[in-house]
Amino acid sequence: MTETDALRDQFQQQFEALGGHLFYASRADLLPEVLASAYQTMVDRYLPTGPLQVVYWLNSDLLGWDLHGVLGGIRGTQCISWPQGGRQQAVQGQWQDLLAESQVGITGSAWAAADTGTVALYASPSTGLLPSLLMPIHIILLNQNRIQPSVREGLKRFYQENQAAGRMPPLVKLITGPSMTADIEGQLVIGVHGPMAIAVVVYEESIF
Amino acid sequence: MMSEEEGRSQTLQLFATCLIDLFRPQAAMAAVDVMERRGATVEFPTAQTCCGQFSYNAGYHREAADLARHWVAVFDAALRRDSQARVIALSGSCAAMVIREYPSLLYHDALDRGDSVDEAERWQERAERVGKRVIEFTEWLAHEATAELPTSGIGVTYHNGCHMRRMLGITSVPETVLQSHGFSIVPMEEADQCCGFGGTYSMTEWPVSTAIADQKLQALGKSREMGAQCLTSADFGCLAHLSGRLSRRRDPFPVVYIAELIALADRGPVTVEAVQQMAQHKEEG
Amino acid sequence: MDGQLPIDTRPWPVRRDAALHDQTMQQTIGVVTKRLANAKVTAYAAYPEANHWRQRAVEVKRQSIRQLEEHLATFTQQVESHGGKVHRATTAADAIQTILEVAQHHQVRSVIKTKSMVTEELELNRALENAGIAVRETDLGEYIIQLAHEKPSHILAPALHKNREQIHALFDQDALVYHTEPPASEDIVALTQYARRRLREEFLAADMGVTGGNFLVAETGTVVLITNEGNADMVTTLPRLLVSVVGVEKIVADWSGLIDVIQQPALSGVGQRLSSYTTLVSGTRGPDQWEGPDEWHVVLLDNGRTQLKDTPFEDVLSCIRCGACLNVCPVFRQVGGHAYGSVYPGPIGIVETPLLTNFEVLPELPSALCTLCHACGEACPMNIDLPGHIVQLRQMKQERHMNAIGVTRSYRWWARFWATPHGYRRSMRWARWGQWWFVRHGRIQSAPGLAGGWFKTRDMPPVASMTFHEWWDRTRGKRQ
Ligand code: SF4
Repeated sequence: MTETDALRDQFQQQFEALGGHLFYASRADLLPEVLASAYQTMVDRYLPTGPLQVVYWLNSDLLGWDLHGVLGGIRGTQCISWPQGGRQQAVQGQWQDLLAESQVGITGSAWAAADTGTVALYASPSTGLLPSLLMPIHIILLNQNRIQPSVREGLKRFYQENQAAGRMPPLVKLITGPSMTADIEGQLVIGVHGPMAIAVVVYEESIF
Repeated sequence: MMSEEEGRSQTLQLFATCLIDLFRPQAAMAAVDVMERRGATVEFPTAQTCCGQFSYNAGYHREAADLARHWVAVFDAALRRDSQARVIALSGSCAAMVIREYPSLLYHDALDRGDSVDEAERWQERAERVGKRVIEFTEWLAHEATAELPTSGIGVTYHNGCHMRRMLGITSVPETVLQSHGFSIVPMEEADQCCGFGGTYSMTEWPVSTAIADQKLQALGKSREMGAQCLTSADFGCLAHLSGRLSRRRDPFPVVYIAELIALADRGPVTVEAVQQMAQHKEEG
Repeated sequence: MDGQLPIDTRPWPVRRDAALHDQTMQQTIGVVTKRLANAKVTAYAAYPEANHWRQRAVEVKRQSIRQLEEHLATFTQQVESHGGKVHRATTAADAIQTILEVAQHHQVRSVIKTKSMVTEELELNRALENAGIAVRETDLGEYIIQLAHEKPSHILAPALHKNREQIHALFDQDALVYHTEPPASEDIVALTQYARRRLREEFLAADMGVTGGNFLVAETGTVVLITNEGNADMVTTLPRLLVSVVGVEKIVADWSGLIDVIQQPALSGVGQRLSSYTTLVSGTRGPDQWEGPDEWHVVLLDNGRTQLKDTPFEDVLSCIRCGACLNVCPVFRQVGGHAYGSVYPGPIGIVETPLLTNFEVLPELPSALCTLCHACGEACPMNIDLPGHIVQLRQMKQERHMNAIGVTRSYRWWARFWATPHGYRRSMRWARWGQWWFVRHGRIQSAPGLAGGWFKTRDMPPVASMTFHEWWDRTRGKRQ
């Protein structure tokens, strides 16, 4: 077993213990197929009926990939790509409404941590946090080279990469399991404000 | 260390504690019996009174320091007579008071009284020196080579006093000692929880203190269902609290200080009746 | 300068009796605190390096506090160079004023909030509402108690004292007010779904977000927020205007310090390696960016904190509000958070409330709500000497003559007699003589004075007719 495989295994163990689902594209060319099946599994399990609308953005290594070709055939899914470039105040409200009406968010990720099952995302002009937040289902694409042994290591590298550029991204989010609460009688309930189900699709080095 | 001691018997200075002295002298008598059976020479510095923990915990540090200075003087003198002697404390809590709190209490109190820093440091050093030679009864017993006694099958549940556990770090020793003396240990749920005593807290804040005690008695109920026939502890304060509560609830469940159980086992096969009788032993008028 | 803390004005015996008679609260609080305390132990056991990092976290917090002012200056400079604005607030009133000014400047009508003990300390909701601004708590537990017009009963699980029937009733009423569908049933999932739906509307409509903060990183100008529900992400991502109100003691010097502390609240509080959501805010939205606030204000609150610096109580400023000390406290497990009457309950509340306010409020806390069992000291991941501080505070009360004179006299006399063997023996003889007025069926069942409380619920054997001292004198005395 290579070191990368061992890290992925550990990540999977932690992530699944938190209630997440993990799918793995063991070869670069399998990614579209695995993503489609991950998507199908998640929506059939958590949203078995109703229309499906996806909002997505991808990491730079997958940039330009049109997910409509992959998911469009599944229960008539509509795919909306995260708008590139600046926003206008006037459209912000509309865009939020659009996001709020969608069922699935698909996002890339900056890095992950094997010891905690954490995935890190951050906001930039081409990447956003709302698709990880507003929809009932969140699917994360994770390049397996970005899995760090620990959240400590992940944060350290993240710092080194960004501090060199002079500042940290203004909004960073570490996701360690689905949204949950134990606020009523101490009983655990999944899906309070954020997604009630999360999945990670781990893929090998870029196919594009 | 053993070899040096083997030749002559060790001298143990008994620190009986005020509660046992006044309310359960049999506990100290039993401890003396246990120690002497193991070849120790037991001495009891009769000028001893109380370690002052009640006052200390209530915030009356000047008053506590009065008692602490007296305690240190009494035992320092006793220990000076024999460089190998140790002080045996019949309470984990009182031992913790002496070992953990005395040095800084006496240091600060000396300064508060206007003594010089030198004088304060002398008190601190003296308290530390005596404190190093204080050992809680069951911990001493655990180090004594005792032949394993055959099991009596008597189920005992053990309450680990908070200070003994958290300030002295003694956790499983008393249970091991009980086991090697033939008792079988019945676990107690949430064993690390306080019994609610807290010294004068039990008097000033009796409603909360009692609620906590009742929680403990609920856990005790489960131990009883699992076969516990007796409750014991290395802290008589906790036991007085719990047995006082049981008594008020007219529950005759036997509560016995640990040295009494050991002394009983030393004397021969233990029966439930003997334990019950020991627990009920009351003063007649 | 002394801080100001809001309090429950009911006297302690009233708060205590209300708590001891509240079966629902006692039931849940007992179960949940035990579960959290056990989860912590399990999490540490399964995570071999965790204890080592915890010790590093302690060092980081202690050192950061030692150079508090320096780090706050760096933090301010960093935040401001990344588009934010930092305000220093000496007292609760200063903080309120700052926040109101920001809100009014932007004509804010509605505010969404994350759970924050500091805003409880400020009673921010009341201040905003008085200014005509609607406030919505978005943490589920906080939302529930906001609807019930109550206060949190646990710093991590504010609505721990409510059961599902009570919550259902609150949501039903809320649905009526907002003309929306009530929860489908009393089921906990259905209740949570109702809150999700209702709060979603408020998230999308709010003009201003208010957060607390678990950590401040000076080096990068970052505010770190930890939640399990994801509401902090909503609050930091959606509204254009964001205000973070954070105690000055939350500072850590640098990013590597953050790495050492970041897992601690979840590990020690709930036994998770990291909470579900950790949000790091380090500035306003970039020009081409879609998300994040356009305007970000950070209010750094002192409110009595810095007066603990350079005192024996300085370690208190290392508190990460994990709640571990509450979860193991036998008194907290009996009476729950409300009985403390302070924003900060449990052992840390006992210590912090009188210290922040210089004993102005709730001076009974150190004496009345602690058995000195030391469980909190053992549980605290930040090695804060909670039991030692509680003893110290009791002593301070005594020095400031805050105890009843009769009680003080009892301790005086007690010490006076027992500091000599002669006095000890004499008092014992008196007790033996006097006690027979109170003995029934061979046990003492009542007593006057300080000891009287014992006998309300417990018996005591009488002073032995032959004490150990006497037995020794009689049987061994001659031999020595
Ligand atoms: S005092 Fe310690 S245990 Fe209590 S909340 Fe603070 S850090 Fe946690």
